[in-house]
Amino acid sequence: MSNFLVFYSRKRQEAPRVERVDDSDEAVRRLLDAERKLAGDPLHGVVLLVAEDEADLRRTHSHYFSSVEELVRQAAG
Amino acid sequence: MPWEVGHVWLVGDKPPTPSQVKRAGDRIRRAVERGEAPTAADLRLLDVYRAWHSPIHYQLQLRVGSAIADAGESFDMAGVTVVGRPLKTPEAIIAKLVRERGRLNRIQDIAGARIVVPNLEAQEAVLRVVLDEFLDGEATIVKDARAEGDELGYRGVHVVVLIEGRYAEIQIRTGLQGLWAQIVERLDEDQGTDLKHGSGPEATLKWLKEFSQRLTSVEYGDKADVRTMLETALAIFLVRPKDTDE
Repeated sequence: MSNFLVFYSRKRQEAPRVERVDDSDEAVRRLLDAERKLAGDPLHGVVLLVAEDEADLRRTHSHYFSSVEELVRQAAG
Repeated sequence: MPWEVGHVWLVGDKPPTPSQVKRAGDRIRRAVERGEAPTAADLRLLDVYRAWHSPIHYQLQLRVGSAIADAGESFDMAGVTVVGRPLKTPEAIIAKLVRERGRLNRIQDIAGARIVVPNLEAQEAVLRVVLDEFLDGEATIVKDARAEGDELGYRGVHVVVLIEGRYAEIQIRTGLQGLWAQIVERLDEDQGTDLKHGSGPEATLKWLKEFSQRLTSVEYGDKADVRTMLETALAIFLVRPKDTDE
C-alpha cells in the first residue's frame, strides 16, 4: 500500500497533481501542512488516499481526475 | 513521548478526551452558524482528533484487503478495488457538524475506505467478508441503499466498524453505483452546489434521480436499458444541467 496526496483544482483550472509518499506518518504530516497552506483557498484542495497504485485511485475517486463528460464516456466504454 | 503531526503536537500518545472533542465540535459548529471563524485552538484540536484516526485506518485497510484476498477462493475477486482515505477533510467534518447538528465525537467516518466491485453479486460477497472480518469491531450496516437508492438516488452499502475506540466507515459500491456518486461529486465541484446532500437546482436533482434509476435497471439485468441509460446520461450531462435550469 502507498500513500497518495492528491492536489486538485475545484474548477479544473489545472490537472490534479499526485504525490506518492511511502511513509504513513510523513503522509499525514504533509497532508496537514498542505491543508494549512490551502486554508481559505476556495479553488484548491488536497486529499490523502491510500492504495496499491495510482490506477486504483483513478477508479474509486475518479471525480478528482475526470470531468463529468469523461466519467460518462468511460461508463459508456 | 510527544509526537508531531504537521503543525500539531499530541502529547503522550493520548487523544483529546471525548468531552474535549465534543465541546470543541460544538464551539466550531456554533461559530460557523454565527458566520464566524472557529478559533485556532479548536481547529488544532480537530486536526489532532483527525490525526488520531490515521493509525486505525491503516489497520482497517490491511484487514479488509487480507480478508478479501483470503475470500478470493470462494468468489471471483477480479475487479475489486480497495482505496482508503485516512482523514476526512476538516471542511467536510465542519459541514457535517452544521448540517446534522451532530457531535464531533460521534462522527463515524473520519477514517474510511471505499471498495469498488464489479457487480451486485460481488458487492454482497464483499459485504459478508467485511462483516465477518469485523465481528469483534461492532460492525454495523449504517446505510444500505443498494436496491432502491436513497432519496437523492445514491446507491451503495456502508458499514461502520470500531477499532481501538475509533470509528471507521467502509463504503462498498459497484462500478455503476460509484459512477453516479462520482458524477455528483464532480458536478458539486464544478457548479458549487451540494447535490450530494440535496442542495442544488431541482432539475439537476431530478435528473440525477432518474439517472440512478436507469443505472439500477441496467445493473439488475435490463440489457435493453443500456442504450437508454447512456442517452439519458449524455442528454443530462453533456448539456450542462445548470444552463438547462435557466
